[in-house]
Amino acid sequence: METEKTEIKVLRDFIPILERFSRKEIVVISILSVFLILGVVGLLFQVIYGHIVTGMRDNVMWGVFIANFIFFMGLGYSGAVISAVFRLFKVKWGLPLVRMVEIITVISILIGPVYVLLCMGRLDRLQHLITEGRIQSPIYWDFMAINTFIVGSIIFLYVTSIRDLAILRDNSDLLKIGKFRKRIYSLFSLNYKNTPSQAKHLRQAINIISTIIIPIAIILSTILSWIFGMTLRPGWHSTIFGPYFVFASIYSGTGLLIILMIIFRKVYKLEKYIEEKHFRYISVILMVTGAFYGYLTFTEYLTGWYGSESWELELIFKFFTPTFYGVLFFFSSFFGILVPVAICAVPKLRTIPFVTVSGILVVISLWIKRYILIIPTLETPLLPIQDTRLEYITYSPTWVEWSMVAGGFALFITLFIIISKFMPIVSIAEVSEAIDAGNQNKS
Amino acid sequence: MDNKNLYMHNRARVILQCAFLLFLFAGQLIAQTDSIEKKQPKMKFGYIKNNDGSKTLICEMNVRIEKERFKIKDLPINFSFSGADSTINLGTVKTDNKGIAVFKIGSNQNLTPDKEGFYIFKAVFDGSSAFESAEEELKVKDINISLSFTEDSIKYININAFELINGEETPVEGPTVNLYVQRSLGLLKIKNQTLTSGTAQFEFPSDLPGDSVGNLTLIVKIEEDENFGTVEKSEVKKWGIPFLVEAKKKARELWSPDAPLWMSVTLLILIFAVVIHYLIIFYKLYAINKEGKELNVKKGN
Repeated sequence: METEKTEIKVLRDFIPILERFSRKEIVVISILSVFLILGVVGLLFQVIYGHIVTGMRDNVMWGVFIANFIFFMGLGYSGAVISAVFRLFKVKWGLPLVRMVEIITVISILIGPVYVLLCMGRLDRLQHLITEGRIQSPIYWDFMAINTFIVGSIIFLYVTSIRDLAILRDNSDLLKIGKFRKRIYSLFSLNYKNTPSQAKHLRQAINIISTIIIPIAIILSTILSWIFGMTLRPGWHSTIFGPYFVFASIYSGTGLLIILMIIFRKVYKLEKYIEEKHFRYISVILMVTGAFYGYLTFTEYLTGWYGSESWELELIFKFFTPTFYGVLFFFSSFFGILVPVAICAVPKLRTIPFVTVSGILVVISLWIKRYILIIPTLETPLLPIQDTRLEYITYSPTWVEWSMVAGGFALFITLFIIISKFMPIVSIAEVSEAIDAGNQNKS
Repeated sequence: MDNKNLYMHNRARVILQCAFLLFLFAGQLIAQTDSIEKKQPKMKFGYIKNNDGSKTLICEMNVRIEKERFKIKDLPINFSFSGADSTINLGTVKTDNKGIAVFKIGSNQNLTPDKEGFYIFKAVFDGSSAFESAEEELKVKDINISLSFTEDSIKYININAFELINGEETPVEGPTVNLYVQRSLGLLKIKNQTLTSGTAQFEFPSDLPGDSVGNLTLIVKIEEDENFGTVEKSEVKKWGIPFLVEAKKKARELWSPDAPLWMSVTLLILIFAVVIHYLIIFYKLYAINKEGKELNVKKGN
């Protein structure tokens, strides 16, 4: 009975979010719609006129689309890993955050692969990936891994949401919602009544998916890195790319989680659930992953530079020359690694504003990092390019590409807001359980 | 917000703003140092007389930047002809993606050469905001090549070349004639010979593979001659050995034998391991739903 009461208490805090779109949300969604429409216009433009409207050409055949793909996939992997680790190791302070990272995972993993499709010239041959796929190709491994992870992350979000769906079903009278939504809650809660047997089955299902999603996410992140690592190109052909991508993913995902935490805390007044201690704890994760990521970055460039291989040096020269990629490289290294790690390393600076700044810097820097991972290498081929056109040598994204990049980010935020209307962004069942457990300990 | 937090908050905002300003303006500051300077393009002008008697003027534009040459597209090239009587403006063509502007003169277009029998063509680029102007002129004589074939135990190609001087056919002396055979990816050079009294004869090899019925495309060419430019004449002859390629279909499906066994096995094990776990979870969900339904029925009873 006590648990039920706590559940309802917690649910009441989320009723305003679940019932309706606030004015602020409508304004935000309207602004985002502009970007979404712009993205659709860009897409139509590309479909009608072909890839010539993008900045991609024969030599630099990947651009901001693939940078965005890696960025979103990274967010997806990190969300799954963070949530699964919190659950498996029963990290109680992390319980209010798990739902958010699981939603990040599902949305990112659905948006990310779209950018690969946007790079493809012959989408009508997409089915060839299945019918004529070559097991030897890292792209094929990635294709298999992404599909496996999409299924896994949806199962993960669903299984961990069943108890909340049952709470929403049983307390639907408290919510001013339509019959359709009530039916949806009823259908997807799978007649869950929290009986000992049902609770055992659900706990086992959550444990299984939490256990399996970690290796899947790590394998997938590594396979994505192998698309680059297996290629004999300066800046890509590296043995440490697997762990480098894994840490980059978790690092950027943690940064995004911090941004979402501050937004939801402020907008929905969830200070009760997303407390200052959460920022403090999450900043430690940011510091640790950031330090590892920085260590791998240093190793990557040091070995490349020390080897003095001519093409590698040509690439490194571009990273350290302001007229090439020096500014972006400096930003991604200094503001993306050193500043956030330094902030989070000082306990006094682990305050909400500073941790938020760190999170923002990490997310921006890691996107830039993905950009400078792809473009400079493609602009530095192993064989010198002769008798070619100027625009083939260097890459500049066009408005068509930027519109679709902006559209992707707008879609991410819009989907997050929409999902938060159907599902509490904090796991009601788990948080209320933790509150009850805390009260029992006190008594 | 207490004073300490307010101070931290403001500091964080300042740091963030500085980072953004640096990031946003760095590119512009760098861009300001660049200056626009006109480049001198290099023009290469060529002439081809085709198999059907038509003529092609080819103008290639490129520019040297640092140590590399780049083709220049979208440059308007004006072609003109100067003959005995006057100068004729043939037309303007823009260079394509490969930096090449091609102008075709049909075999029926009547151009009159000058007194010495030279056709004078000119290609002019007037210059643009990025490139200096450039022009090239070439003088060529018209030459007619005819091919005849002798088939016996040995096969011969007989070449007869003449030019019209004051309406009379005059044998051409001097240029080198090359004999090629068209292959899938380019031209196979067989022999070359100098024209003597307007004639040349090639013995043709008997062991060249042709297409499925033995057809070969024989091409006779005078190439970039200072008087005649490039002149081509070709003909298809059944002088090759019929060559049938039996296309061997190579499977590229999932079950292709091309992938190493260990790779296929690893992939299958991984997929199997994941799917088994997914199936166990589905079973758990089924069990939850089943029990819930039974409880509902009991309550209903």
